[in-house]
Amino acid sequence: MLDISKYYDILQHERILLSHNGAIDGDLIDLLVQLADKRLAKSKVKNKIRKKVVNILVECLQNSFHYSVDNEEHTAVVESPFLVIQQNSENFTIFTGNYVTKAQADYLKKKLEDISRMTEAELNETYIKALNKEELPTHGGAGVGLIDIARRAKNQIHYKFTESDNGLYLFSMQIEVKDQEPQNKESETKANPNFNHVVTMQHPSVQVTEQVDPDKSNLNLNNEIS
Amino acid sequence: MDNIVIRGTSKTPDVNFDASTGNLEIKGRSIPENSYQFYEPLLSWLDRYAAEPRPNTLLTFKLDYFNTSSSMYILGILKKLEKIYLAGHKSQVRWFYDADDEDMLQTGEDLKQIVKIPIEMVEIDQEEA
Repeated sequence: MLDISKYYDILQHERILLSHNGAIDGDLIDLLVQLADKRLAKSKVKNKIRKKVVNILVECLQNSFHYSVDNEEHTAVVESPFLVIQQNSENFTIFTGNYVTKAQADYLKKKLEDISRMTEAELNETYIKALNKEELPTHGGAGVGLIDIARRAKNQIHYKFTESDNGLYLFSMQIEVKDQEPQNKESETKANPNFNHVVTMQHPSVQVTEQVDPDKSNLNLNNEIS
Repeated sequence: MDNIVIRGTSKTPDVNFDASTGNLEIKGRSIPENSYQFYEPLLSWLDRYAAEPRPNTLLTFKLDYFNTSSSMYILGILKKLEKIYLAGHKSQVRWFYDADDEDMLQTGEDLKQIVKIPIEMVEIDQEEA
C-alpha cells in the first residue's frame, strides 16, 4: 500500500505553503493567488513580505501562462508550469518554471544573466527605462516581469535551464523573499543557513544534474504533491 | 461626458472616473492577464476628458497589488494626465501606499521620475488600512 503519510510528512517538514504542477489559465492563477494570499495572511507574516510573495507569484504564474499561450501547439509546454512556495519562518522560497523553446531559453538566459549582475540602483534604473520605453503591451509584460521580480526579491534569484529529450528546455527559478535589508552581491548566491532542506524541483522527463545547494540534504518532488 | 464606474474584482481594481468633479480614482488590485482589455477604455476616456478637463483634476491610486503589465498602463494613465497638466490645467496625483509596503513606495517614486506631473506619496497606517 502507498505510504500516504509520506506526502503529509513532506508537506509538513518542508513547510510547503502551496504547490501546483500542470496547465494554468486565468481562473487557476486567480485561485492560486487567492489561496496564497489567504495562507500568508493566516501565517501572520509581515504585510510587506506577504505582498512581495503574492506579487512575485503573480508575475511567475503569468509568465508561465504567457509561455503556454505562445507555445500552445506544444502540449509539453502547456502542461509544464510548476510552482512551490516554501516557508521558513518569515522567509519564503518560490520555486517556479515551465518548458520553453530553445530561442526563448536563450533570450531568458541572457536577460537573467544581465539582471543577476545588476546592483539595486541599476535594477531600478533598468525598470524605469523598460517601463518608459515599452510600447503598451497587448498581452504580457514584455519582459519587465523578470526585472520586477528581481527588484522585489532583492535580486536573490537562482535559475537553471535543463535540456530535455523533447527538444524543449525546462526553465526553473528559485526566488528568495527575505525580511531583511538588501544584501551585498557576494552573499546573494549563498544558501540560506536557516534552511534544513532545499526542495529541488524535478520535472518528469528531465534529469536534474546540479543541486541548488549541494551541502544540504535534498528532496526531490515530482508531480506527487501537485 | 459619461463617468466610468467599475466595481473591482479579485484581479481588477475599482475605478471611479467622475468627469463632473475631476476626481479620478483607481483602487484595489490590478493583476489581470490582459491589462490592455481593462485599461484601454480608461485611456480612451482620458483622451476625451483631456479635451474638456475640469479646472482641478485629482487622480488617486490606492493599490494593493499590481502586475507589470498594469504598471505600464498606470504609467500610460499618468502620461495622459501629464498632458492635461502641461496644457495648464491644475492636476495632481496621490499615490497611496501601506506604511510597510516598500515596493509600492518604490514604484510611486519611480513613476515620479518619469512624468512631470506632481505626485504626492501618501502613507496609509496599517490600523486604518
